[in-house]
Amino acid sequence: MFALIDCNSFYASCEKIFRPDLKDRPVVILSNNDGCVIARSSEAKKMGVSMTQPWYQVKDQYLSKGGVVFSSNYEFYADISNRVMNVLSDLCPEIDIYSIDEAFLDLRSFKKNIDLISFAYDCKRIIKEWIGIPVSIGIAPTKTLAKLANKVAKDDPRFDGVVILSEPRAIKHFLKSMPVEKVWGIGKKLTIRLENIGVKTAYDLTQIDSRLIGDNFNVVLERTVRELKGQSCITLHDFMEPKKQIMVSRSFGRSIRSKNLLSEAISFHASRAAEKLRHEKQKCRLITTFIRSNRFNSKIRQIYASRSLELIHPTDDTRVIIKNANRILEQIFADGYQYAKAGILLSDFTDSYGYQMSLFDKKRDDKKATKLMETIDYINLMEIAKVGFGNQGYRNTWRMKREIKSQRYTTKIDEIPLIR
Amino acid sequence: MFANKNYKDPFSHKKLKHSGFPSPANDYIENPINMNDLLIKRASATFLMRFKGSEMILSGIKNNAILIIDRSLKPANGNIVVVSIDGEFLCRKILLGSKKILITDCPKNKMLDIDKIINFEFLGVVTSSINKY
Repeated sequence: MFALIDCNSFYASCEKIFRPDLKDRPVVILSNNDGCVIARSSEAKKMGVSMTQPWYQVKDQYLSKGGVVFSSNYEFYADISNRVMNVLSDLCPEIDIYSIDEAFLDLRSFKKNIDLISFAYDCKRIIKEWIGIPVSIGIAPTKTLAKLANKVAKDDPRFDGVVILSEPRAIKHFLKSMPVEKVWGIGKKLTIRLENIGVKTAYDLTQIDSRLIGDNFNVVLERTVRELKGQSCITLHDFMEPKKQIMVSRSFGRSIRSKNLLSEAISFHASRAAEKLRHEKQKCRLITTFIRSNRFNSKIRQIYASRSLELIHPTDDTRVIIKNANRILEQIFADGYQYAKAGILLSDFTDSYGYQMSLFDKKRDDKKATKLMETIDYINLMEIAKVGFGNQGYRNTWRMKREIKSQRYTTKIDEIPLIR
Repeated sequence: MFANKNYKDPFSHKKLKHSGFPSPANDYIENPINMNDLLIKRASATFLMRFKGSEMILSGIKNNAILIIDRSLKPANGNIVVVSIDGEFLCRKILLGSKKILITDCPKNKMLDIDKIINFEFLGVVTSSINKY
């Protein structure tokens, strides 16, 4: 059996830990730069605030109804997440951390006669009491089923946050009540294709001919079907596939017109992206730069410009990536627009160590470049002084604004909560 | 905050090289005292708060003391605890007899009967406090 533990409204629940006055009040969290809503407490959901809604559209009504708002405080959320995962790994050492607020537990090493119901309620109670975070738990023979069970545990108040699926008959009944789009990994497009061939529920999906799936759909769906049938086939490593692209983008604090400022932002993002690339031990062949105006502001002229550039040989060199990202900017920049966001995407990866030099490549001093990149990453890691390239800019007027951020209650001694 | 692997204990020393005679104490080397081990039993459930006021002075908690709070502990009679009452955190001593009562060290403060408070929540037990001089 597998358990999926998922923190309820994680960011909002974090914000409530040290604010008992917010216990039953609506709380929303905004994205970097306070652009849109990225998390809501259950009270805020009931008020009808939806995800990724631009903040300025809901702001007045939400605040007038007594809603509370925070900018995202990732330092704090990361620490709380770390605590939750640590407690979980004490309860069950076989843990796969799936995201900041979700983890799978592999319960197969448990004794056969263990009472899963009391185990689940113990997990739930301990995380709530020790850390202050409410969780939902789904337990089932496979990860895909556990994920489904978790969804029901979270959405249907009758279950009190815990759903355990073990009997084949109960699973069958459960799958019949489950629309196919709720299944892990089944997106909108796939749902439409499946509905066209008569598949409406998760149960229908388990009934289609496996050859039909093999011929018309991909292996991922085949695996999903097997998981729904109770055959476990998603392992830890499936989550650890190397990333296929790296995107770094931010909205600006206020919109900007100048090419120089845009170039500073692009260079900064390029250097962050290159750092991530090296962390993944990958090299990229394709660099994409994009710039855009604020699409929610109907009063201004809109622009979205993006272009990609293919390199002759893959790189993870910050200097090469910054140079090429800026070459693209030169091509796509147009005067007279108000730019609200810029970003860079690195893709078409090859393994750092496994790429072949083409015959006509200039012989490059790769070793030296690697050494330089390692040194830069090392210095930046130490957080004493950041080292960067000249065009990353000192002014940083475009840096994100996070205006209504809560304290870093658990990671900065000057920001711990006060008590009487 | 406590599980950080990069955390360097201020009590730990650099390992210095010996060039001459090996130290006769070499076989007896132990790790230096670690303040985290001393003060924190369960890192994931431990939080810090800063106390403001003089009400708990006789329990040794001065103004601006850092309280170490373990949320995994159940309160025992006479413990110093953190609770929230009407949306506000308070540090008090708890007495568990026929009634559950919260008191301060200050006689002019009135006792609080937990069962009579509507909006009450228990947070954790204060396991130690750090006063800086």
